[in-house]
Amino acid sequence: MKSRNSNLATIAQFLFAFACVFGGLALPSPGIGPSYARLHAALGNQMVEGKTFERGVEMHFEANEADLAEHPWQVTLRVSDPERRGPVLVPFDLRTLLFLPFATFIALAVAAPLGAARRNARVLGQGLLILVPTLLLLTALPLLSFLGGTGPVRAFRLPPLLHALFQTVYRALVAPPGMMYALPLLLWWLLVARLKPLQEKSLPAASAPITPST
Amino acid sequence: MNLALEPLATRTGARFALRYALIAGGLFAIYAFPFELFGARHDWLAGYLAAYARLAGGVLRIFESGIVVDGARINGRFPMEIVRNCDAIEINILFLSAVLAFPAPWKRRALAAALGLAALVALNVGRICFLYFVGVYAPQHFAVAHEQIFPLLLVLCATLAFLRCARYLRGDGREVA
Repeated sequence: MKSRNSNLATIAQFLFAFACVFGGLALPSPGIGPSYARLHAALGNQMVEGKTFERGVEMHFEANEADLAEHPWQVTLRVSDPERRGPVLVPFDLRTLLFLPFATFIALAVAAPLGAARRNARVLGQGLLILVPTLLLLTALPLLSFLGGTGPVRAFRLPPLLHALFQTVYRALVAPPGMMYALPLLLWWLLVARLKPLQEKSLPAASAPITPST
Repeated sequence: MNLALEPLATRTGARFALRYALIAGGLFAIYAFPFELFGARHDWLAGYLAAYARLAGGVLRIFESGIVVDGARINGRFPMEIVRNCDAIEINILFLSAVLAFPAPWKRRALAAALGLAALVALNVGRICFLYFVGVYAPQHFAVAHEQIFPLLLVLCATLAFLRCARYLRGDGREVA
């Protein structure tokens, strides 16, 4: 009974610490939203700007002040096709796609009672190294499918099987709202379950009381 | 920290993780595969979503008269449509896969899965009803409640439900609920 109570207390403490860290990161809104959006727009433009795709299609990520005042976490991809009259605008809500999963993982890694701060830091570091590129890739998949033929503008060609794969991954891991919390939770569990159990520090062999020699 | 599971370094832990990934991957692939790209009907989920709407609408009628369900659409003071993912399928799949992958007798797994899924569906219907009233009384908060707060609560509930089931599956507890 004592062990069960202690387990419940540990879980309650963990949940409280998680709520504090997650709330601190996620509640202030717009908070860092506009800066976060501008940073990601700049990163996106590094990849697509100046490149011309199939049929002269060009792309540009936008996060201007007027848009950010209304939607502080939104970046819009402007796709220009010379064969169409106007550009196609693809909005991205970075808060749900990237920021909240990121905040969830940080809160889990920081709040987990792992026995030593070094272990929390290890889980945090390893997790972010995996999570950040994974989230960026998952965000890019529907866009690749959209621009590869399922959307109104075709910037490049993708074979149907690749479309199917991208759409399946998108529908399974990105579109369901719960996945923005479930993915970091699963990654966190995977990393914590890989940790070796803490070992009790053994007492030195010569721990017997020292007696004065005669 | 006791995760109710064996560490991955052990054979049992690694086997659980592998089985979990395979079962969840398979179920997600069935639900999310774009069959329409290969000529199948777009609306193969329509009947299921309409049934979900009838269930949620039936519960809403307990609290409010004048609720009419038309297909997957719930008409009332705040009209809502049940679409793919409103069924919280991701939560159900993740929970079901974890229970089925757990190293325990089949009978226990079946009972834990049935009761756990029933509880999660009830919770999700409650979520839809709550969202309806958020839409009626505080529509400015609907998007945040729908897209950010309730998914977190559902994931949290599913995790706690699994931890509870894990105790039962390992034989630590006498009952699931």
